[in-house]
Amino acid sequence: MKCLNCGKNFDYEKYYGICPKCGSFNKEETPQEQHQRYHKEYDNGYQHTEQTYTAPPFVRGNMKKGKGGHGSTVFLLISVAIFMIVTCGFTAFGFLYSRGQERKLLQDVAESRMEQEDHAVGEAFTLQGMTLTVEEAWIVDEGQGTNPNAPEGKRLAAVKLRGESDGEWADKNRLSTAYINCGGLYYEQIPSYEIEENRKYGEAYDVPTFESVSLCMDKEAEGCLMFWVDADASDFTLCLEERADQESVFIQAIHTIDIHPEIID
Amino acid sequence: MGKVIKIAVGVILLGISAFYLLGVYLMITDAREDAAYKLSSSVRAEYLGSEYLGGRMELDGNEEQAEEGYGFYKLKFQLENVSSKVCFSGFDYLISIEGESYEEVKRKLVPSKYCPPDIIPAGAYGATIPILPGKSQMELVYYVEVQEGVDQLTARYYPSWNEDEVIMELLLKE
Repeated sequence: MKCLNCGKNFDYEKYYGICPKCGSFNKEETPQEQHQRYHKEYDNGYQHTEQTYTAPPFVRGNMKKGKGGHGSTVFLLISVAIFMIVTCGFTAFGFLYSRGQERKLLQDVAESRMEQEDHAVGEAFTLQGMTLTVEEAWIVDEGQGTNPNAPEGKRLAAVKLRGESDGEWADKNRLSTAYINCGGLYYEQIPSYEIEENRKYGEAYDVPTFESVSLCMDKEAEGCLMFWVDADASDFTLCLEERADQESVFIQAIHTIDIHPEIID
Repeated sequence: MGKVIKIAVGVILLGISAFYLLGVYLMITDAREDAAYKLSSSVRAEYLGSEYLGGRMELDGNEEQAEEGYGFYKLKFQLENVSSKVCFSGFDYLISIEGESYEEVKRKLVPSKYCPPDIIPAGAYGATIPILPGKSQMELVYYVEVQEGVDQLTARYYPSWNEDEVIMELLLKE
């Protein structure tokens, strides 16, 4: 028979009336043929009224809608599944990977070897491509006796440092924060910004500071590192870290210089 | 839900997933640099031993008297910062000392040199507090007032903010 929807010829018996091309269901006889058959079978001469039957219009889109809707649902479900896997799975993976890297780096740092190099005042030594010399050191302030702003039990010491480098910023001629060992305890240097902002140490005593980046742009630099030292300490050890790796994570060496500061009246 | 909406939601989710994957990829490639940035100090403590001081002791010029039934012990520790980052943690509270019961340890006294000054003038803060630089060691001393008859204490500390607590048994020697 011929499909009423698309015109495709197909075997009615084989496909049970369903068009193999468009999927439309076709009855074997048209409504008019069915009407004629009813007349033949049941018309006994009685009067009857003729009513026109109009079949509901065939809507092609309705069938497509069912088939296409299923596809979009599958697509949505797959998208949700991928989203969940990516957000949950990769978040967990990223977190664990980061933690693993942190632990591995800490382990690498802990296992890394470090040299200690002892130097004397006036001796030139190389550190991260710079050549440094501790020239002298002196007590700048005797503490609260002369300066009410000084911390209790502390004196202000200045260590004069002179350095040379190639003056190239890219070579990272940057000094790490210096610290001292005084009486078995370590103390960091007074930051340059505190010296400059407070104007209690640097300008008041006319002591130029040695900045950590002093040798990043200049080939020569000279200045002081300043520390609070114990009032009863006659000496201390200056420590300068050498870090040459990209992230400045690994300490390759610690350069130590024993300092006996002069007391200037 | 309409077909168009389903597809639109799916495409949006896939787009977010793609950006997320890109973010994870960047996170992995920068993980080493981030780890270097986040690297913290990591302090290991080793118990060196104890010394019995009796019922009286002097600390920072002040005489301390133990309660009846208690005595003072001097506890020595060796601290080592195995990381390359400086440790700013207060050494006065770095290690907590405790007994089996609350009464066994009456108090812990810390020499003032390990503590920040009571009054720190402006501009002197960081440079007056003891630190433990990277790859360095220092000795730490605590004094504890312990109930007589107690021969063992427990010490606890965290090597760093992201490491597990370490517990040590401290044997007391008379």
